[in-house]
Amino acid sequence: METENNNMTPLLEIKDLHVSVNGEPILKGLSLTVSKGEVHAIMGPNGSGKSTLANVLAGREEYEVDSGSILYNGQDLLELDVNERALEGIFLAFQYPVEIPGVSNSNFLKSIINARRVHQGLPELNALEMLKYIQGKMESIEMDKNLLKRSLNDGFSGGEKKRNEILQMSLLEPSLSILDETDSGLDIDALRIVADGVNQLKSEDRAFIVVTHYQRLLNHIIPDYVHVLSDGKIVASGDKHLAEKLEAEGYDWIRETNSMTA
Amino acid sequence: MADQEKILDHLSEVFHAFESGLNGKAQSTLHHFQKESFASLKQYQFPDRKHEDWKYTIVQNIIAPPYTLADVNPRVEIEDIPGLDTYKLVVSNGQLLWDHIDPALKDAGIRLMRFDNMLDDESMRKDFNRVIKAERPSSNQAFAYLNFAFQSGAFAIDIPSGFILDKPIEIRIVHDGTDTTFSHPLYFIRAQKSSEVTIIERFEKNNSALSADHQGLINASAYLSVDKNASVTHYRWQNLPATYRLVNILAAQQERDSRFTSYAFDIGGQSVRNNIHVELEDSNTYSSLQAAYMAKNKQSIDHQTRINHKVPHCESHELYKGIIDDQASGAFNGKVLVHPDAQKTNAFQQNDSLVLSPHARMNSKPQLEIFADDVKCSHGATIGQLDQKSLFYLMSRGLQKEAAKHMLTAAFLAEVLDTVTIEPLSEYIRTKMSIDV
Repeated sequence: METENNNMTPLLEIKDLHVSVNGEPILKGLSLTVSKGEVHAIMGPNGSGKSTLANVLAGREEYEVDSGSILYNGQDLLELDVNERALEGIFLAFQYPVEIPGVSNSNFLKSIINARRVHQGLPELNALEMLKYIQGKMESIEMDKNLLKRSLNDGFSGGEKKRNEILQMSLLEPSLSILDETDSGLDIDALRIVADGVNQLKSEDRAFIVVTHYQRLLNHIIPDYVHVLSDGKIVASGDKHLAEKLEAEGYDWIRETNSMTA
Repeated sequence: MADQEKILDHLSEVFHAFESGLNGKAQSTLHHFQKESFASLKQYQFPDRKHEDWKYTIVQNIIAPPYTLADVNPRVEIEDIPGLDTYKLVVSNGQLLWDHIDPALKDAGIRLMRFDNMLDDESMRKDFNRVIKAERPSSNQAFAYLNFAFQSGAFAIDIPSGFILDKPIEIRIVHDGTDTTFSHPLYFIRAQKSSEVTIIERFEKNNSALSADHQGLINASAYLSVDKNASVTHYRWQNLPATYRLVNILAAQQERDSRFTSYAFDIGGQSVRNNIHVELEDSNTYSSLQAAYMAKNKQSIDHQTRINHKVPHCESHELYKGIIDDQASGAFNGKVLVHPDAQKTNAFQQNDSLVLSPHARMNSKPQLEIFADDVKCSHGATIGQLDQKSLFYLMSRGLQKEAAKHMLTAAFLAEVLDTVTIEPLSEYIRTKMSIDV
């Protein structure tokens, strides 16, 4: 991949993106630029298109990109297959991680770690190195090691599933992590662990898009930018104080502003 | 039906040629058994496609080619299953090769008998007759009697009362020849009271085969007598060449407090028809039938199971899982019969199929016939494609589409394979089914 990886090139550049699902427009001209080292929060009422944005970035087929562009590291992201996006460093922490009985969690983790390493030109980890690597990360997010022996997300509680997403994120060390309502349904301890996972990974080379309905996760992951998504467009952007305002006043004032400008 | 006559005429010719080769054995008990069996074969005849039990496997395709009996090829080469310690027996073209018998089996504490000796052994013969005479679907009887009629190289194993065999018995079954030939492997196992035995049956390609692409039919039968409190575990692994047809009958009769577990793994063959019949003669038995199979190209794999709950307080489980790809077809026809006296029966049956190609077909017919009122029974079938959400999830972590698909098909069959307790066997099957993830 030949890109100018200087600070001038944003990590992600979305321009006037229109996306529909089953013929119904969901995103209606969304633009967003994310640079390395930044944390962006995407907030907005239900049905505003937050999850659509997350899924389009990951490459879900049901989402039809009608127009607009997405550049990732200066490269046309829409040209990349789902797995190529992951190998290039994009990670989506799912809102609802699927349960896959019969696929062992530990084999799955080994496969994805080595797939990424091979793509980066690194040697695969042997069994012992792998175990140490995985267990180390599990400890750092206080995850029960017995979950390794189970099938992937099979019978996991909501919190365990979300923790397993954060584990995968920590292991793959992606350049761009997208957290799709990872906070929903979590108690305060689990929330803190998710936030710790993100904060441990934060660096000048990495960026995060945190999709959330509520402000409480943003008390733990401090965003550089907060964007409000409504009816498929970003209708307001600001710093962390915007999130506090949303929490205090709800989304109604956004809707009003939006309908006035529409 | 003209075809049927033509087939029987041809088989009569082959049978007379077979009889004339018997030499001095013409007056033996065995010959009597053969002649009687051939008469029964003519009486039952082969089912046609209108028969409900043979709707999805075309009998004509299996039986119509003009087979002759294959000569024994004493040179049999089959790879060992790494790390698996067994007593090995080799059956080539229906004949047990006595030269190839694992010497350790002699001191293992069990009796291995030639079939003709077994017929002359009053107690063994009585039990054998009891098992083969049990009520069976009439649609399979022609194949059962065809097997008996051409019987010369069968064998029997007698596990004494209270005896626990320390290693599995591995029965390697090959077919070989240059022309269009059939063979009829047969064995009978009597597991006496409170004994325990594990059988690993392997239908394999002979690496020293005379010809790589001749047409062959293996018409194999195995009969098991599982006496009081005995435990028999039967594994069947089938990886035959693609030009072979296979009709297989496995019939078990269970006495009080006995346990019978059957596993069937199929990946080879052209047209494969597996029939399992379990007769529950007395109470408090446990039966478990499981299968994992993978049909590709133009293969056809057809499972028929019958469990006959005749008495109260018995439990049976069936789990059949198959992957059908390309232009292959699969069939499952499972029937659980619960007789009026069989109160407190627990019977569970499930057939799940993954159909991976638009040209692949799967026909599933789980059936429960319940004539008792105080029972717990369930049956079900699912036929589906790979779950797109799961596929997306795996790919979104960097796995290639093929690798992700592979992981999901392996996961699908894992439910069956995970219960195989013999680790080297389970590893071997996973490798051969290329689901070793």
